[in-house]
Amino acid sequence: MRAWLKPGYGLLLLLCLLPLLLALPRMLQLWDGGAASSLRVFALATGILAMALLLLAATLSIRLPGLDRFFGGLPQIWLVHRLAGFGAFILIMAHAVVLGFAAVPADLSAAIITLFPPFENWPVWSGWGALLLMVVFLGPTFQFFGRPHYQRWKTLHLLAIPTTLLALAHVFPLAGEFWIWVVLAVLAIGAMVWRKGLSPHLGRYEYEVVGVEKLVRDVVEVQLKPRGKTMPYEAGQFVYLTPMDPNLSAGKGEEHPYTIASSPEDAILRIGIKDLGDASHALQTVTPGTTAYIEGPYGDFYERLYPERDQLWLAGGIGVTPFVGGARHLREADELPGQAGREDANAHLFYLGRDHVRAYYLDELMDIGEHHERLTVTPHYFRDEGPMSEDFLRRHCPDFAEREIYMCGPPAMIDHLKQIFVRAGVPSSRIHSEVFDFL
Amino acid sequence: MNKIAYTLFVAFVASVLTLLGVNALTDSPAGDDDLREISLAELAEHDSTDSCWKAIDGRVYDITSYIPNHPTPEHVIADWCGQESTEAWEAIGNGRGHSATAAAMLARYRIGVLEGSGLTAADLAEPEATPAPQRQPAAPARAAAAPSASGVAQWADGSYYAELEPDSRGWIALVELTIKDGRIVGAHYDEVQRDDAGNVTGSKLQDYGYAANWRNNRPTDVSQLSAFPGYVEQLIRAGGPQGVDAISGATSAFDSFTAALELALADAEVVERAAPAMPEALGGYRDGTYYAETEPNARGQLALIEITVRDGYIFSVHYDEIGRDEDGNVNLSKRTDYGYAQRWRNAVDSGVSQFSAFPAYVRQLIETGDPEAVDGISGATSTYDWFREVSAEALQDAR
Repeated sequence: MRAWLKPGYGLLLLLCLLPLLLALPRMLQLWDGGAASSLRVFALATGILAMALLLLAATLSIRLPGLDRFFGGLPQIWLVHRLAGFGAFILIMAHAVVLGFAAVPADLSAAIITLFPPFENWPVWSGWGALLLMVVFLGPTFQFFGRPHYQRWKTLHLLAIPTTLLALAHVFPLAGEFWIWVVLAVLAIGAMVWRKGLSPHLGRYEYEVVGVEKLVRDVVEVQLKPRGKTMPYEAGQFVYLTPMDPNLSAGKGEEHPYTIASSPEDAILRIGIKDLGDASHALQTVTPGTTAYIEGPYGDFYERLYPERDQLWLAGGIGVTPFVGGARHLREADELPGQAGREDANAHLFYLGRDHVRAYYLDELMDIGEHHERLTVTPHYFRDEGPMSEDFLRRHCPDFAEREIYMCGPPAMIDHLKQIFVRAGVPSSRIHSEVFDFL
Repeated sequence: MNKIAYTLFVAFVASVLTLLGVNALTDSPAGDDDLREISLAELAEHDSTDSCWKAIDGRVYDITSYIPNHPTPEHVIADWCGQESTEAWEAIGNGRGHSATAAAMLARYRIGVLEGSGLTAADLAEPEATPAPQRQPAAPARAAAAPSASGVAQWADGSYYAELEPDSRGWIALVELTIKDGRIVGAHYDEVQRDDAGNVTGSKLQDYGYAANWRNNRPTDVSQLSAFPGYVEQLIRAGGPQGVDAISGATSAFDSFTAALELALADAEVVERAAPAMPEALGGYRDGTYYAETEPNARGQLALIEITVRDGYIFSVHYDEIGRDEDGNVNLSKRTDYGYAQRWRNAVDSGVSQFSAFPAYVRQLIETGDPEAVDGISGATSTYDWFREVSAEALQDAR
């Protein structure tokens, strides 16, 4: 919930509703209380709102490092981007259907001509073109045909660019308002130009793979050294990594998001990578000495809303990576990640794993915990203890419900833990969680 | 979210397909009947509301069943039964033509093609549902010989009045102009509706609803409220119809205006005269706005004037003759009263009414700056006395 309080969303909401507000007098003038004009006004409103959402979704794709903090981090932006796209898609369909039906009282064939006019009326057809492209590239997003392949989905999603342009060609000749659409169009096109045209050249840091450390069978830590400028970052943030190793079996030149495991003080950038798909599988054997581009950093994992409170960390699977970064930061800088709070504030990490065999990074974390009184590390093995319970938490960390809570791991784990905390009376504003699902 | 998107998408496709399907089933053309050739003679037999056929753009329609649904008085649509009606079809809305929706409705009533129209099945497959093309502004040929503002006088002094036949919607264009010393000094143009007794029941110049409607339906900003005075102003400045250009968005009014003008001046005696010099305006007034009104006459009517002086010269003038009820509310304003104008014209047997007399006096006052220099207009002499009296009184304060 906390993300919704971010200032960025207030601005977004305003930009989303402004076109509708500006068109209100025009719509009221059109409205004579009859069924046909009511439908027309409704169709107009849905069209305007859909267009605003579409352009804002495009704007949100900008992925500018640092900017995402005004929106509660990049994962939150992706969620809102997705909601906006979803809303636009639904409203566009409503717009078209209702517009057609609004003409039915006059005549059935008038409805057809409204929807499928002679080609001279090309703005209508460019609207249809935009909807068609949208179906093509959103089909996989909404999994009309099952779960898509990440890279193919991403390539297909580029159709969002011609979709936006067609939609603009639909709106400018037909909408009464002009300047608000110019503003929104500039934001959207600017975002797309930066993201797809400029950021691959201007927004990336060139790094070299200097080592690959195998942690367990399917998890490695890739170590990178900057060739030019060093990317500044904070513990727990993530980057988009584009490996250029020609020997990779998959994913060469493709960008994928990974979490940083190193502390900001470290000269080496360390990234924890689990074999979850073709690209991350190939990275398990990436060749040292090859180039990798880094774009970022993103996210605000250790955002402190209650800096005076102690922290509770819960890690599951590869979700341990941001906590490794946090613990290493504690070791190297003698401070907890995120905004400085009390001098003696401490963190308690619960490491949720299947069993001790797969508990990667745990040895290092336990070692940090033993040398630093501000970090306590408690492993929890599913095989021995079953699912995590409130009882287990309370036994090892009696004040767990008083702490500011950070979780990272698979969605099922997050859901399970959230229920425990809600039962224990922890307000949702004190729970931070990051799920890497389909970014 | 995924399921909702998918479900609504399927529903959307289904809705559009339903719309298309139902349309295909109900709108299937009646085969060869579509191409039946109908002669003008056969068309002419169906000239009543009992059986009303019309030819539009080479196609023949039987609109008998539609007449009760048409949004105008019945005669507007019924008058054209049995005739070639393309002009009437395109002329509504002052040249804007019927809407695409109306065109689509019309297509359903097609029963054949006009004999000799040369229309083929391929032509008929073309969508009829394109609205009538907007008329382009009239070619500037008439303006080519536009005289300078001083204008060579061609007509004898006097006032001239004419009105055109009602158009397909019953609007009557009327013009009244006053010529003084060879110059057009006052003119009035309006389009009005009359009842059977000839009383004016509607005036576009006074119809704000019509103006709003017009503006909403057209991409231009012009309505008759400024277009009509725009034509009048051009006429006065140019000194004759030759110098009046069409205003974009008001071209059918332009056609009516020039036609009415031509009619009004048809009987005017043409005299040879040197171009009159523009009088030098009297200035030196104090800037400000000055108001005066006369004592009421025996019938309780009085003249009022409001004069605005800017940079020492008279800049704008409002003159009217009004009546007031016991509570002081204005219950007569001659400026806008067609009934009064009609009675006056009949009574004095000249072409003048207050509609052009008032503006003619106002213009003279602005151009001369001197109430004493305003000349009387034949047929409007009582107004002349009042105008001089009240304008002199108002300007006394401006000395």
